[in-house]
This record gives sequence, structure tokens and C-alpha cells, in this order.
Amino acid sequence: MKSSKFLLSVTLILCMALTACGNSNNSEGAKEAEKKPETAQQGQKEDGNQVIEVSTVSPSDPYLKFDQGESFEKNAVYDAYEKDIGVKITNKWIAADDNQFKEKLKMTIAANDLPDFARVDATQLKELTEADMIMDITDVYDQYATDETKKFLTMDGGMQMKTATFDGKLMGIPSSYNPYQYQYLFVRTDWLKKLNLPEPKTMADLMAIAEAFKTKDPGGSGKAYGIAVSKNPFSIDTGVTGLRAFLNGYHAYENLWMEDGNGGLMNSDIQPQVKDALKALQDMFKKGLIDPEFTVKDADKESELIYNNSIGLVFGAAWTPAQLAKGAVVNGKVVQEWGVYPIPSVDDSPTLNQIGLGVDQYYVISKKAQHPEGVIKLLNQWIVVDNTMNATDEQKIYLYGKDKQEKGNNYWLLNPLRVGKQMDNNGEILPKAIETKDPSILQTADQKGRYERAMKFIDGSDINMWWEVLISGPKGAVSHNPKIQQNKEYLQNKFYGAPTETMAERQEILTKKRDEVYFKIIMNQVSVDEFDKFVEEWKKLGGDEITKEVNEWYKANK
Amino acid sequence: MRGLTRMFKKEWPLHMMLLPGLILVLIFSYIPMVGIMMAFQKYIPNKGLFGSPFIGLKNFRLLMEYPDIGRIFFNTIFIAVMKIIAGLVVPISIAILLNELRREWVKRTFQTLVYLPHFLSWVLLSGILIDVLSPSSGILNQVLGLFGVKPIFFLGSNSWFPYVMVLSDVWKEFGFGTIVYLAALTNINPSLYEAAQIDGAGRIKQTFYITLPGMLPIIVLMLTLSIGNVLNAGFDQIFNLYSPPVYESADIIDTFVYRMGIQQAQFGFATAVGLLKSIVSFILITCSYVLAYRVANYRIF
Repeated sequence: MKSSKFLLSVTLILCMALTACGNSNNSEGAKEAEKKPETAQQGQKEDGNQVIEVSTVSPSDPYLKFDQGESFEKNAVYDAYEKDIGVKITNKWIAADDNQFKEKLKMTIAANDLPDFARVDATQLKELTEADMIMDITDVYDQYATDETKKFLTMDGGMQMKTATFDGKLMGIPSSYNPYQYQYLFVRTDWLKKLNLPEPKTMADLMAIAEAFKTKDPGGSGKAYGIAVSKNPFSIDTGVTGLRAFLNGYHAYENLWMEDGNGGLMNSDIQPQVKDALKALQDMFKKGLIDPEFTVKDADKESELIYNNSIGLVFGAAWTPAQLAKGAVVNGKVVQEWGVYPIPSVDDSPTLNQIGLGVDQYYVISKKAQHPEGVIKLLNQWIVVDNTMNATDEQKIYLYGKDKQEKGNNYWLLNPLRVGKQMDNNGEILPKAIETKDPSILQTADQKGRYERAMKFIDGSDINMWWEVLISGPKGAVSHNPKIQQNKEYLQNKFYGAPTETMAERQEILTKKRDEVYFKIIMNQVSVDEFDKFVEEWKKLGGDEITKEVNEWYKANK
Repeated sequence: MRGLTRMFKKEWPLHMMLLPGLILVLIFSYIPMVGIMMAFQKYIPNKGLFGSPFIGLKNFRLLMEYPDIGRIFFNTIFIAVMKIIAGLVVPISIAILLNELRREWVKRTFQTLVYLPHFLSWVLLSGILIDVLSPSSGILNQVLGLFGVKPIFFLGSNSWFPYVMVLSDVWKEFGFGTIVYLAALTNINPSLYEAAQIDGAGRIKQTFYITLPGMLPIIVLMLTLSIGNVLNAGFDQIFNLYSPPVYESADIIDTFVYRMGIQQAQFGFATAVGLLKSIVSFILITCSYVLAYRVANYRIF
């Protein structure tokens, strides 16, 4: 008893000491951050230095480790910006992580205390524009953005920039990424060979393969299914074991706004093609091709069936092989062979891959900012340093800190303004480079990393890199991209921006009804004609209202 | 009055000890009540609590217009009431049975074992439950199969889902509840049992005439406390186990608020539902307290 009391008091004291330290550190840091801008500004005025100053707010990151003596106030990356382009970065505050960042940002906005520039989401972009708190940066961008920057941010044809434009005024810089993320069909090719089946080209092929995989059980697990499905098959987040790609094969799409042929937009969830897809899924369910317990299994749980040789067909994103690897590579040996194919189509017209816009956050500049051009300069510099293949020592500082060596400190997180490529040519370059073992054609740092990983598998030095070959190799997932891209076999969501008023109120109701009906049809609990009733209900429960609002928006933003 | 002052002078250290608790309650329970305002607003984050426009009872009207709202309320109350009843009956019976055990170590071991699940989270348990209840490979269906019962998809069937929720909740919590009742049992004067034995009462009669009346105050207290929870059917549990095919029988107020408030960012609406829940809970707990006072002459204060 005595010892436990002693222990308890020691822990308590320790806790108090720790929190006390933490507090004092924080408050000192905050104080310093508050003081800094003033002194810097004074200095600038006095000696007429060309260095301009911009303030921002930053999230910290658990993976960011500072070098000895460095901090958010003073570090190699900020120094490099100041030295190279004459922009001094200060932070109004630092949040502990990204979640806290979002919370603090809300308060900052609420308190009308925006820094010179900040990263906000689509809804906030709209609110800030309406509240007249951020700057129209059309001219600043035009004047200070380099041609390279302008080209970089309009690789997608300007869609993402358009999402940041209100009434012809550019209100923010999209924090973009590549929207051209396709889905593919992954098939156990060793099973295809074993059962003497052709590669899947149409949905009919897919059904035949699924049925053979189920009835002939080539994996010998005794409990085989045709296709892998998990409990959130229609969710945008389901990159593996989902059914979005299956719908796409039937020319049906999950919650996407598409052209209705009369110059307006319509929602994909209630189109007749969905009924066809659901009918097909119901038939598959009846034949036992779908795991009857899929509704309670998440992707990881469902994947266990893949690992233990019960399922040989999976729809998923390009990174799916990383998930498959757990079952495919066991004890340093490849025990499952997988092939990747484009999503088959139900008829003669090709499958269109459903994609989004690739942007949900924006960098905005406060109306009170003294030097908006500084922000654009930061943007220019980031695009230069992040996209070179063979970085110079100077450029390496931006990614690795002052000793220019990759050591897992993640210094790149210190760059206050980061945008990603809207398009990549991995599909053209990587499969060729890996096939010919020729690294000279590689163009980006990402490609270099992938090439090196794939080579490790090919030369046998690391068998666990199996998945990279299935992603980037000559017959890998991305090798299908050039054809999709060339033939425009994708369908992009036509609605972007903040949710409309009725959407905010009603979308949940509609999604719930939809999931309920879709699932019940698939599980053969109700007839497929229930879909028609759902369409009527969807319209009544707010769908018509939303469609009206979306179309008003479309007319204004076309 | 003078007596009070004198008492305070004498006992002020004790009163000071109350202070930290009071301050905590003030900060974390009373000040946040200002947030209730959100229920009557169209809350806009950048305008804040005091700048967002008031929209009267629109959030509440929206709730009433929601097509499945009746079903959601029914599910909530149905699951919660069953949980309260089972959560009383099972621990009390187990406590009484445990009390009859003569060997101390058996009693202790059993007690420890049954209250362990209380410390597992539903995230973890849901994974286990999905395995155990699986119609194709779950142990429960295999056992049922021995008796010729066809496999049942417990988590995918609207007729089974609520009962699975109640049973699994009882399984998780009854061990923890048992502790309270075992403590109550030690309070009963042993001489009462001796007297009863002399009068010729058997075990059953002793239970009904001595044990149960002896435990009554604690039972009433636990019931009163749990009535306040009648609209809490258990978010963690249901959220981790439900799926679209069982929305009909599984969607409860909390899961609904989660989808509406967190996923759709309808903060004002979510607050309105939360407020409604609190009001109903408040009324219920008042009623049960009055009842407890009238029927069992039980008072907390």
C-alpha cells in the first residue's frame, strides 16, 4: 500500500512537472512569435532591405522533427526562402496537428484575425469571400506568378483554378492534387491459367470468371466467392473492395453530377443505369458470388478472404497492390499472382472512370496583407524546388534542412505553401523505364522513387517490393492510364464548391435512403423494382430541390 | 444563522475541498450550456456563436420532418429500455448467486473474469462479435447448427439486430454492475439470515424476504440513474456494428446525429437534437426520482 502511494505521488509530480514545462514552452513560443513580426518590420523599414514579410499559420506534424536549435521561428527552410526569394515567413500561431489546425483556424476566422495567407477548405473559401475578408488575387497572380507556375496550376485545363474563382475573381490558390485517379480490376492470373480462362474484357467475362472462381474454387479454401466487396462499397474513400468501378462498368456513377443532355446537370444516383448494375449485383448475390456478410466487413476484414485464397477479383485504386501484398508475398515468396485490367464494360461503349476534381483546400490571402506578391513568390519557389529531378544542394534544403540529407525529419512539411501536380505521366514513363531498365527517361522525384523500388523486386534484392511492380511495372495499374487519358475514358464531377443550402440539410437523408435501398436490392431482400420507388422518394425528399440549386450554380459558373 | 457561521468556521477546510469539483462543474458543465444557443441558429463557424443568424425553431421542425424520425426514436427507446431492464436483472441475479458461493477464491476469480469485458472498447469488440456471430464461420452458428438450426445472420437481420445489441451490451457490462450489488449484499446483517434459518426459511425464501429487500435502496438508485440514460442506446456499439440493411432497426438518435452533425457539418441541427434529448432525459430522471421517493422512500439528497 505504501509503495503504491509513493508511486502515485511520484507520477503525479512528474505529470505536473511535465505539463508545467509544456505550458511554459508553449507560452514562450507564442510570445516570441508575437514579438517577432514587429521587430522584423521595424528592421525592414530602417535599413530599406528588400526582404518582405508574410505571416501565416501552420499545423505542426508528428512526423516533423527539427534539427538541433531549429524551430518554427527559425529553421533552414524559412531561411532559404528569405535568402533565395527575399520572403520572410512568420507564424501567427502553430497548431499541434492538422485537426487542431482546423479548429484554431475556425477561431481565427471567427475572430477576424487572419494572417497574410492561410490554407482553408472549400466552404471557408466561400464564406470568406462572402464576408469580404480575403483579397481578390487575380492581378497579383497574373503579375507575379511565373509561366511555370501558371502552367503547373492549369494542367487539368483550368478546372481547379475555376473552383477558386467567384464572379471572375480569383479568390484563392487551389491546394491541388492529381484528380485523375482511376480504378482498375485486379484478377488472380494464376487462377485464370489454372482454369484456362481468358482475360476479362467485358462484364460478361467478369461474370464467367467470378462464377468459375466460386464453383471451381482454384484456391482450395472450400469457401470461395466471386468478387471482393466490403461494407462501404459506394463511399468515396473505398479505394479497394468497393463497387464504384463496378457501377462505372455499367455506365452508372456514385453521387456524381453529370450533364443531362439539355445543358443542365443531373445526379447519377437515380439514373436507370444504376438499376442495371444493381440487378447484376443481385444476380451475383443469388449465385453466391458475393460474400453474404459483406455488409459488416470493412476493407481489411474482407481482405482476409483475399489473403486466404477465397477471392480472386477485386476492384480498386492504383495502390490496391499494396493491400494485396499481404496475401501475395508470404515468407519471402510470391504465392499469389495478380494481374490488373481496365474496368470492363457491359456493352460496346468503353467504361468511363468516375473522378473528382482533385482539390478541396485553398490558400487565401487576407485583405489586410501588405505583400500579397510574397505569397505568390513562395508558390513559384515551391513549384520549382518540389519538381526537379536532380535537386541542387540549395534546393535540397527545402526538403531535408540544412544538412541536405534525407534522414526522415520531413522538413518538406515546413514549406508553408504546397501544391501538388494535377497530372502525372507515370503511366507513360514508369512502365517503359522499368521494362527497359532505363532510369534516364524518368522525369520526377516520385517516378525515381517508384523506379528504384520496382527494380529492387526485379533484381531480387527485396521481394517485398512486389506491389510496386504491379502498380508501376510494364503491366502494372498505371500502364493503363495513357489509354484512358487519350480516349478521355473518364467522367469528372461537374459540381464543385461548397454544398448548396438544401444539400447541407438533406444530403444525409438521401445518402441513407440510397444505401438502404441499394444494399437491400443487392442482398436480394427486395425486388430490383424497388429502385424506381427510391427514385421517386429521392426527388421528394429534397433531391429535386438540390438539383434545382445545383443547376442554378451551374448556369452561373459554366 | 449563527449556527451556520459557526459550523462553517469549524468545517471550512472541508468546504474548501469541494471547491475544485465545483469549479470543474462550472467550467465543463455550466459554461458550455451557452452553446445551446446553436440549436436555434443557422450556425456559421466564421460568424461564431454570437454572430450566427437566429432561425427560431427551424432545426426542430427539420427534425420532425425527417422521414424516419419516428422509427429512429422507437429504435432508441426500444434498445435503451431493454438494456436498462437486462442491465438490472442480470447483475442482480449474478450477485445473489455469487453471494451463495462459499469458496472465496472461486467467487473472486469469477468476478474478475466477468468484469474484464467492461474495459474493452466497442471498436475491438465489434471485430470479435462479427467473427463470433458470422453465419458462415461463427462459433455461435456452428453450435446452433448442431441442433439443426439454419445459420442466422444476426448483424444483417432487422429482427435480430436490436436483441444482439442488448445481449452483447449486457455481456460486456454485467460484471461491472455486479460489483455494486455485491457491495450492497455485504451490508445486510447476517443475523437476519440466522433468524430466518431458525424460523425454517430456505434459500429461496431468504433471497426474497431478506436479500432483495436489503438491496432495494441500491436497486432503486441504479434504476433512477439509468432512467436518465433512456435515450442513450449506445453510440459506440451500434455505430461499429450497424450497416445500411439494418438501418431500419438500428439507426438511433446518436448515430443519426453523428451522420447529420459531423458528416454534414449541420452543427445547429445536431445541437437541437442533443438539446431535445437532454430535455426528455431531464423529465424522465425527475419522474423516476419522484417515484423512487414515493414508492421506496429513497432520497439522494
